[in-house]
Amino acid sequence: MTSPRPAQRILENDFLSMRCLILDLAAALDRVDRGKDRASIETHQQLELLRGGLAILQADGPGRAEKVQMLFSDAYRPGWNKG
Amino acid sequence: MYFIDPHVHMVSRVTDDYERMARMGCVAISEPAFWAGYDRGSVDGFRDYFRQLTEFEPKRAAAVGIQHYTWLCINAKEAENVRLSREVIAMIPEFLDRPNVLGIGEIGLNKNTPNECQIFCEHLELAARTNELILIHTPHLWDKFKGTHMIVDMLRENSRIQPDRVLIDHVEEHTVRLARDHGFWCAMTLYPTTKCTPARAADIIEMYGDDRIMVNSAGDWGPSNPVAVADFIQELRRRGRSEAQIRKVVYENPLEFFAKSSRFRFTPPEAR
Repeated sequence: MTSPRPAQRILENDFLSMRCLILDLAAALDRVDRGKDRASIETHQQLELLRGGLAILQADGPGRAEKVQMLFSDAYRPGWNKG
Repeated sequence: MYFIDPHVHMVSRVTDDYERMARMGCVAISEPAFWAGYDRGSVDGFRDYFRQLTEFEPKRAAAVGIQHYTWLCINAKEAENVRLSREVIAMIPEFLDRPNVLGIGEIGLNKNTPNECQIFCEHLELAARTNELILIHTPHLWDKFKGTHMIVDMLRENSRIQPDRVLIDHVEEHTVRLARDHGFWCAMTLYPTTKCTPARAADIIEMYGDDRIMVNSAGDWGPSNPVAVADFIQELRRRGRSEAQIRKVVYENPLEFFAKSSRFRFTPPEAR
């Protein structure tokens, strides 16, 4: 079941919901910035991860969603149950 | 359109939810055993729970025209109590002849600990010995990628487990290939915040095809939506998918997988 729809139609259909998602994220980051002691979390791991996620969104596709998932995942070590 | 929700915890939902699901087109559900929100203290607690899953819930579902199936296990969250887990695994065969039992599940990993792995493997042994289908929970969030790999490793190391009799649940963008490439069935869970949204689940179907894959609500006692499968149907319709394409994922695929259980009996809504 590959996508048969033209890219322009997908973009125009989804534009408002994508705009909403970006606004939600922007507002959430503003909320963090308004919090007390904002400077103390400048190197917080979760903030760094969010910045990493934003960088993935700005890069060329495909596979952005999978790359974001991997950013937020523990590493797997093959042979974990051997020896 | 008729649909099947292959993973929903109706013991945590009110009868209004059954009625809402029926009105939306749900004709059957399967309900894996799971964590109650607290650790149960004895094997008799599980025996009572399994009676609820095999006696009471089928009646409650039937009252609104929904056929109810179930899966039995001790959840990974309780696997740290190895002694209790083994008592429950030993007790499960008491219920394996109940007509709505499809197999062993939802077994799997939660925090990817050694005890969870041990109890998962003992559940696999039970399923292999009794020739039962297997429904697998994969971990949430950070643990999912690593835990899904570990689960697949353990499944592949047991030569008596047939991949086409195993459903790996809660797959997302980074784990769906892992399940499908090794011949397992898989399912996506539609949750409000974690797991998949209807749009992302539709994207995964577009990218990886509609064979051996299904979607569920995993509705439970937490934030969840027991009619989420209907939202997924709407998302595919919005994208211009045919009714036949949608029906394969939300109706025919669950039926094909469930039919591998010798106890599975299903009356199509058209035949009632």
